[in-house]
Formats: sequence, structure tokens, C-alpha cells
Amino acid sequence: MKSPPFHAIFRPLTTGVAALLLLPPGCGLGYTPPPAPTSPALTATEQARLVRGHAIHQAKCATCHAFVDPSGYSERELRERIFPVMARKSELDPAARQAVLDYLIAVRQP
Amino acid sequence: MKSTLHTSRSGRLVRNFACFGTLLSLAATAEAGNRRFVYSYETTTMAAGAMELETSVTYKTDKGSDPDFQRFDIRHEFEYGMTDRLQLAFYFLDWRYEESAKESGTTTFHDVALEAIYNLTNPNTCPFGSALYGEIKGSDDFIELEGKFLLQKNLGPWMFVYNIGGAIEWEHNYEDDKAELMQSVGVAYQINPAWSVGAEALHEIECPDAESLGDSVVYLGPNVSWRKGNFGLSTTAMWQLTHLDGEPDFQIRTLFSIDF
Repeated sequence: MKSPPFHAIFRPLTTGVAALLLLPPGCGLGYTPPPAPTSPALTATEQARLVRGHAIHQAKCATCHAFVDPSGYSERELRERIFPVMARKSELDPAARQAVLDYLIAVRQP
Repeated sequence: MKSTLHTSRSGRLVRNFACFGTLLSLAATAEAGNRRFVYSYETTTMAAGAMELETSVTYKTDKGSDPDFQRFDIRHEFEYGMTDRLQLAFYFLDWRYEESAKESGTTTFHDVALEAIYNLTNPNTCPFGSALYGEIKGSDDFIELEGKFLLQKNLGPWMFVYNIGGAIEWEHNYEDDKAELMQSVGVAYQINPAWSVGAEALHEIECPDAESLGDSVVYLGPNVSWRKGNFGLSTTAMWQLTHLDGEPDFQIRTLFSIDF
């Protein structure tokens, strides 16, 4: 069987890839992490930590896996079982760990 | 010793399925790592300071021109996150075992290599991810340079990757040169944070004298990946769609990784 010419495979594949890249991020599929919640009960420092936690969560967590709704886990599971492993794999420093954990707990629906 | 296993096409197909099934069973009982795909690269890199040991095993068999052909390529790699965007890897031992109609089983050292991946855009914070990939490999009688451009799109639990690039090699004491262009695509669906399943396709075209284009070869097959804790395992089995006699009809690659 004769092998197809390079362009016969290259053109449709790159056209498909270009179309895919133009789709909006997330595209309504799966869980999209909400922005950091605001509350008058929070101090400016706490609010800033949640915003930072959201930013780190966006940049780091989906490097290894798609975003997962933290509402599927209890606060204790997040704190003791899941988050310590994830934070270590992401090489987060203690301040960043606290910021992401605070953010996850804040957006979690009990 | 030359292979005396089935040489009929149906027999080889059964053997290949059995081989893939065995690796799937292993995946279900082992613990797993980081890359979802084994022929394509994702654009995300390791966190700064993170380290990983990875071994890849590629089994190729069933050339139309040599039914006895089978080869294992084994690469051992140490990866390190230099920064959050730059990942370096050192392939400290690449070796292979080969049987063919001409040769009985031989084990040979093949090369050592250095690899770098530089992340340009993060697929989680930008519309799509992109990265540059470079690798230099060589031994006492050849040297090869490889470059790729990596793209990635994340859509919820779906991940799409596309790699395009090429390699140029100087062999036989650096006197003969040849090149290869390649593109690959991968799609994976994350069932849960540990498991993902999908498919990979690989398209390669040789340029025998590094100037003109030769024949294209296309492979396609299923992919599965599992990770838990520090361990990772990903595997893809691919069948040749183009029936090029000089290329293996079947190949399977499995990555084992442990991070620390």
C-alpha cells in the first residue's frame, strides 16, 4: 500500500488543531473554579490570601489533573488526605499551601 | 535466538492484544505518575525543584519486510524542574534488545541524551498551552538533534495535545545525515484524578538524505494513564495504519515514573 503524501495528513490535522485551539477555555465542560469569594467578614489579609489561592490553584493544580470540585470532599478530607499530597507534588511553599487550602475551603459547598 | 513465535498475521495480532492486556492489568495493580501520553508531550512542566525518575519501555514488532523483527527500546531518565517553566531531563542510559531475520537477539547500549522543555503559555490560565522542546542525544558514532513545538488545550476533563517537530541525525561516525519530521496528537479523558483514557496518533516521515521527503508512516492506538501518590504509569499501544513494509506494524510504549 502506498503511503499517503505528507500534506494529505498534515493539512487536515493542523486545521483541526487550529479549530480546537480557538474554542473558549473550559467550553462549559467539567468544573470551573469560581473566583475567590468576597465577604465583609474577611480582613484585607484574608481576602488577599483567597485571591492568591485562586491564582495559584488556576496555575498549578490543573498541571496534573482537571479541576475537581472540592465540594465532593469533606473539609477534613481536603485538609488531611488530599491537599498535603497535592501541595507536595506542586512544591508549594507554606504560604502558598495555606492560600490554596483556604481558597478551596472557601469555595467548597458544604 | 530468533523468534519462533507465531508469524501469521492473525497470530501476531492476538499476541499484540495479549501484550497490551497484560500491561493494562499491570496498570490496574501498580501505582502511577505524571505524563498522560507516551508519544506526545504536554506543555506543562514540573514545579521548580521537583524531581522524577522515569523509565520508558517501547516494544516494536511485525515489520512487513521482516516478520521476525522485534525490539525493546528502554530509556532511563532523570527529570528536574529548574523553574516553574523550564524542565530539564537527563537520559542516563538508553539501550535496546533486538531480534530480526538477520540477527539473533542482541542487547546494545544506544545513547545518552539531554532534554529541555520550556513552557510558554499555561493551558489553565491561557486559551491554550504551548511549549518548546529540545533534545540532543548521541553515542560514540552518532549525534541527533530534535526540536518540537508543543500545543495543549484543556476542556474540562478533556485534554488535547499536538506536537510538531523534526530531528536530524549524523551517524556512522557523523558522516551520513538523515532527518525525520513528525507530528503527533493525543486526546485524553480524565475519569478521575487518578485515571485517564484516550488515544494517540503518530505521523512520521523520513528524509533519507535530509533533503527530500520519504514515505509517511501513521500509527494510531488507545492510551491509558494512572497515577497515585508518587507513582505513575502510562501506556499506549499503536498499530500502523499505512502498512509500510520497513516499519513495525505494532508498537507499545509504557512509562513508569516515580517522583520525589
